Formats: sequence, structure tokens, C-alpha cells
Amino acid sequence: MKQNEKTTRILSVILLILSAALMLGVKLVFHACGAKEDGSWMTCHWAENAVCASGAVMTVISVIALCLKGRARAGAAFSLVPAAVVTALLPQVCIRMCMMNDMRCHAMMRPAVILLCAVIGVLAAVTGVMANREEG
Amino acid sequence: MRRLAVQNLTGKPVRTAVLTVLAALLALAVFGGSLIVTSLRTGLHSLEDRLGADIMVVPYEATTKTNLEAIVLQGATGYFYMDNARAEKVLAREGIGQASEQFFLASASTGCCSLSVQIIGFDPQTDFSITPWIRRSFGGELQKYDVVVGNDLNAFVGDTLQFYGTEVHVAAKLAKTGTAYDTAVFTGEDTIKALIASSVERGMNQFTVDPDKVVSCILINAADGYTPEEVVNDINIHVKKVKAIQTKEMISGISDSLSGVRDVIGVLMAAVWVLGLAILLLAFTMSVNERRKEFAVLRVIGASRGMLAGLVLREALLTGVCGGMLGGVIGLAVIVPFNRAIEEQLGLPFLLPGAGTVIGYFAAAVILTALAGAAAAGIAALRISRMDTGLILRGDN
Repeated sequence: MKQNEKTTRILSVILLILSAALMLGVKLVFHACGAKEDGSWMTCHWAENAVCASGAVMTVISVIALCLKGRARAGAAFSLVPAAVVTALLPQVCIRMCMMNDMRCHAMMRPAVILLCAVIGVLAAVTGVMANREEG
Repeated sequence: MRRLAVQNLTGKPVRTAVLTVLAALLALAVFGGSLIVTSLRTGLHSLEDRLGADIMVVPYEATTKTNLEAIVLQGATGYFYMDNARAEKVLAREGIGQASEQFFLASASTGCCSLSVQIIGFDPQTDFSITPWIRRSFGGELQKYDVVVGNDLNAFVGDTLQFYGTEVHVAAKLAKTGTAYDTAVFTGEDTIKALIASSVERGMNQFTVDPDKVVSCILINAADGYTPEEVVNDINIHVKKVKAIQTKEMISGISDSLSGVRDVIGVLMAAVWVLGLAILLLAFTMSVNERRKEFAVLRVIGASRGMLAGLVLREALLTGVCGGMLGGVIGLAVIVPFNRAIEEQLGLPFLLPGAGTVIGYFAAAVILTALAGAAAAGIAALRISRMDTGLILRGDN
């Protein structure tokens, strides 16, 4: 059981890193398209903001999962699964993005968000299942 | 023995992880490299198909003032026009089989985005290059203000788009080509003339032309008995202020770049494989040396030399398969979703092959990696089969 707890703690740290990477990365690394010439924003900018906000929520949940043990950790980890699914759907499905698929929001932001959310979702589910077996 | 191989691997997680990562690297190199090279080749073939004409005739200014290749092949938005009189002179030349006029117009930024879209107008009565391609996605006739959008445009059948204040309806969306045409909008002659007129009325373009009296380019197929070279030379010599270009010449630059990229990827793949195989060989040899006593004990309790060699080979195969699958999955996760970013970086037509081909490459990468691991372990297995159990157990080397 001790080994199991150690593993779920490591997984929780990885989840925290990935959630923080999502929150910061969408603003700094795989951000959406820039502003138009007139200074106004394209719709993908709002998708970027929504993903950043969602990433912040997932980061907080990951911190909670790291601080808790057993079934409480499992609950926090499981709650990350729907959060990751919804976040992956934010660009394009919930908030429609730019006109051309070769624009940065389609070419970089959306695939990076989907990839990170998929990894977070799978790891959160594994963490939840393993933490559920812990005592306490 | 089968369970023992798995237990050996799980019992030494760090060693197993290192070997698996090495195998993953080999698989990633072969899978990623092959997929990128194939996608580039598919993109080039797709571009050749889409150009669909032997010869393109453009106004001479197009070859000097604007980057013709960037507009026609790489999706840069732009336009150029020649008057109908010049077009008629071209069409009057000998050796012309099929001919169709096209109109180019770069939209002002569309409602949602800061980037403009290339609009290509064609005459449905004479067109032979775009219509066959559109037919695959759209069976009907394009009405006035109907457009067909490229696959990479975020617009769908039934949507309404606005160009220069004129609303157009999306009648069809084309299949992906991996070329500049994926971000273009195609429409009939009537619609593009209305859009050109609208842009001129609104003063949103830097030209003032009468859309009824100009064309952007003429696509030509040589008639039977004439070669494209003969027709190109004839037009260039006898018709002033136009430039006839063989489309094959236009894509020769891309073909050269593709060949360069393919060579670089080939060298990188070879380097990764040589390095990876050397490290795998070293890792398995060191691992077998470390485990000499373990193998000697197995021999004492009745395992034959063949069984020990089989054990090492089985461990290598398991590591190779797991690592190969890991490398393949990483390759898929990077190349498939980020294919547009890769295309953008390479600046070449990039079209992912079909799912069957991708699965085939994936399977080939896994098998090749597993076999490479087994080959590296085979040398180590040969050493085990020759070792003297008595000497090892006594502690002598």
C-alpha cells in the first residue's frame, strides 16, 4: 500500500506539472493567433483565455490531489478527467477558431491542448483508480 | 521461462526503462522519418494532380512584380490581370487543345480573421483543371454566389461568408490536398467578377479593372501532335506581354527541396539507427556480463544453453516491441496533430497518407525495432551459450 501511495503521489506531481504546463503554455508557448492590425482580437484568443482559465482550475485540483490521500485523492484525480475532456473541446468545438486551418490557433494551439488534455485525462484516471485502492 | 523473461524485466525497472527508451528512439526515427518523407511525396503528387494543366499563361507583370510561384503553389494571396485582347491572342495560337481562363482575387480579411483568403474563379463551361477535383465533393452546378472552400478553411457546407461586403454561400468543401489549394476559395466566373467589382467599388483593392475585360491566367493543355514545350515557345515568341510557363517547371523547385529534405531525414535516420544499435548492443552485452552468475545458476538447475539464449532473446523482443510501440505512439502524437505546423515550417506541400499506410509504417517500425533489439541481444546470447558455468560459479573469469 505504501508503494501504491508513493506512485499516486508521483502521478499527482506529474498531473500538477502538466496542468500548469497547460495553463502557462497556452499563453506563452502554443498560444493562439495574435491581434489583428486594428488591435482587435480574433475568436481564437477567447478560446486561448478559456483554456488558460480551465488550466488554472485543473492546476488547483492537482494541488488538492497532491495534498490529499486515499479516496479523497482519487476523487480529486477523477474530477480532472471531465475537466480535461471539456478543456480539449474548448478550442473549435465550443469556441470556433480562425478561418484557415494553417493558422497558428489550428496548427499549434489546438493540437497541443488536445494532446496535453488527453495525457492529463489518462493519467488522472490511472491516479484515481490507484488512489482508490489506498487505505485512508 | 516465458514468465521468467517478464519477471526479469519488471525486476530491473531502470535497466528495462533505459532499453525501452532506446528502442522507442529507434522506432520514432524510422516511423517519424518515413511518415514525413511519405507525406511530402504525397503532397507533391497531389500538387501535380491539382495543377492539372500542361501550361499556364500569365501576364508578364506577374512574373516580375509578384512572386508567381508563391501565389500559385504556396498559397500566398495575390492577384494579377491581363486584358481580354491579350488572352484572345494566346487562344488563337496553334497547338492549343484545352484552354480555360481563371481569375484570382485576394480577399480582404474575412470577418473572423486578420488573414486574407485567395479566391480563384474559373469558367465552368471550359474548366478542366478544377472541376474534376470539385466533382469528387460536389455533384451539382455552382450557382451565382456559391463557393467551394478548400479543406483547411474553417467553413462548412451551408455557411455564409462575406467578401468585400458580398455574401457567398458555401456549396461544398473539398478533400484535403496538402497544398496551397486547401486554403483557397473556388467559385464560378460570375461570382468572382461580382466580387472583383465589389472590391473596386469599395476601393478595397489597389487596382481599378473592369472584371468583364480581364482574366488572371489561362490554363492550357497542348493539342495532340504538339508538345507543351512547342506551345510554350510559340506563345512566348508570338504574344507580347504574356509569359507561358510549363507547370512542371514551376514544381521543379519544390521537387528539388523535397529531395533535399528527404536526404537530410535519411541521414538523420541512419545516424540515429547506427547510434541506437551500438548502444543497444553495448547495453545487452553489459547486461549479460552483469548477469553471468544468474545465468550460471540457471544452468546448474537444469536450463539448457538454448533456453538461456532464448531467455535473453525473449527479453530483447519484449523490450523492442514495447519500445517500438512507445516510439510509434509518440510519433503519431507529434506528427498527426501537428502536421500543419510541420508543413508551415518546411514550406512544402505536406499530405499525410491514408490510415492504412500509417498503420503499415507503425507496424513496420515496431517489427524492425524488435528485430534490431533481438539482433543486438543475439550476440550477447551467443556469448552465454559459450560460457563455462563452473568457471563463473568459482568466481574466475
